[in-house]
Amino acid sequence: MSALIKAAGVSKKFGNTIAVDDVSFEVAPGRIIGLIGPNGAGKTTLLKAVLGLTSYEGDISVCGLDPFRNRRELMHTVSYVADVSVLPRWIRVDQLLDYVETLHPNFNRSAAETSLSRTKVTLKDKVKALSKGMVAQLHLSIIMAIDAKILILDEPTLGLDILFRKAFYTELLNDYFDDERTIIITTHQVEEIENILTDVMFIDDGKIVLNETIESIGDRYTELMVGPDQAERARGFAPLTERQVFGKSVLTFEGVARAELQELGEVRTPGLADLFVAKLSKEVA
Amino acid sequence: MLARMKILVQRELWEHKALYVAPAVMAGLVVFGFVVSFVWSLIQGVPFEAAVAAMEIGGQQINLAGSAALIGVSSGTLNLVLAIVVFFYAIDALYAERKDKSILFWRSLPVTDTETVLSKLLTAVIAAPLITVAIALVTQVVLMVLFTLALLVGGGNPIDLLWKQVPFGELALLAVYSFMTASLWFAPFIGYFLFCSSFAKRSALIWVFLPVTVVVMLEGIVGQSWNVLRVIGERFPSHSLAAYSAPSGLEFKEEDFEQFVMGADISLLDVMAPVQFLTSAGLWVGFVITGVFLAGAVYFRRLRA
Repeated sequence: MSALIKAAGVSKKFGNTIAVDDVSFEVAPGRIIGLIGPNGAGKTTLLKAVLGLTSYEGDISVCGLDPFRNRRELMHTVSYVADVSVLPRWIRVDQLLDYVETLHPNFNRSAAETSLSRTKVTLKDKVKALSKGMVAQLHLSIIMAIDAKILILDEPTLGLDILFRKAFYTELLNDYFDDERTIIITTHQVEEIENILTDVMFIDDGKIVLNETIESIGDRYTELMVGPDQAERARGFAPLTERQVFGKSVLTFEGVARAELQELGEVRTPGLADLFVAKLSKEVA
Repeated sequence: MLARMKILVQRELWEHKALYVAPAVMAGLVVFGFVVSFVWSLIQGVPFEAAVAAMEIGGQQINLAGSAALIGVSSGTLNLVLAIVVFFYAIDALYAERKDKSILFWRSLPVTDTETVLSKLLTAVIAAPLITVAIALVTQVVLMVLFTLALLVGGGNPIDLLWKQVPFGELALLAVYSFMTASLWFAPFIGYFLFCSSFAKRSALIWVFLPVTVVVMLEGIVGQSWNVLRVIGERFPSHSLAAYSAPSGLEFKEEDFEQFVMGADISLLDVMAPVQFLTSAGLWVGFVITGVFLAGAVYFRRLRA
């Protein structure tokens, strides 16, 4: 199938600051992509450009639409959570459902109500009477009841407890995700989403520094743990980074055959968080 | 399309309850005032019979004067309340959603910025006055019932003395007409308030008054003239000139009012001049200005999200 999102040469400047710097990428259907980067890396700006919420230079096509010009049409097939604490505080839950039901042709009200019935949120509650977690549940229940091709979640679980976060990602994977849909998630808690991602993109300083499928990461990157005796030999393979754990050296390699490293010590695929640190500290150096 | 606009306006009313609560409370106060004075008169032993006798003699004049007072008290008071709540609504309408960040949610739904801004204008210019005039009409009915009670206490016949005398249908139509024409006439002001609320970083209140004050003062100091102030000022009395006619001609003169009160055979409907109003240049110039401000508001909403 053809790409859902195509971005070519996308840049966004705020005055002299370059938030997104000549970024190009494509996103296929049926993927779960983690967009990972430090604060101020340009993640949110890039997502905003994809969602038609900001002007930009370059070309973006989302489901064949120009997001900035056709935002309303785009929102039929793309749904997003920019921040989970943005629901208006004065509205009642049933009013909110009436509103979305009337304005969104792909919203399935009964699905939202079923999902809400599993929470403590009732239809007559006002948003301001709900706890932070309940507001997030409400928002996510609405968003997940929208039959969208692309779902974009920008820090969807920020400030929520671990039980909620686990339950949310499980529901996302089991009830929402399918071959037709693509989900893009940004989060600081990389470890929590690592096991549900199919693809990962690292962004730093407005540039994409890594864009891989999870399978290819295992082929391309290797983490090696060696004792002090083998450390010098290991360094000969030009690691991206090296750190010390319990008197042993942990080195991350890119494009070095696993078989060669296996002779030196313990070999495994690096976790995303470690890979992220490795890729970015290399950038700094 | 209609269903979409309906829910968008509904949304505004959910958020800004003052648009109907404030006129309802004011109407309640007016009714309450009449009830208190009625009860007080009963306690004090005011001779209702004498008043009724005077009405029977005075006939139509007194009754028509009474009905004029009825419009004055309910419509006039509520018009003032409406102007105040609509003003505060309009300067808040596009600002509050940025302040509480809910704009991020609203814009995640398939609703264009134009639709949203338009729904806010319709709320201020159509929905709010319609609600207020409905409240005014209910208030008038309640007041009529109170007068009926007073007449019954005085031993008069309320059908002859009140209900046959007061042209209630005409009064109601005139009330709707006056509320709606005034509202359309002042649409450019609402457009300007919405525009201010679309870009204001803090309260839009200062943006509403500051530029106008500066422009007026600059013109006064540099040009030694007051054209801006005059144009704004002229908008106010000229509404009645465009929307109403008087039996003696286009100018509404004092003797017309006297004739009216003195019970000359004039239908209240003759006062209304809808064709003259809808074809007046002032109205259409106002619409164009409103359109320009709305376009500005759409532009800022799109960029300032």
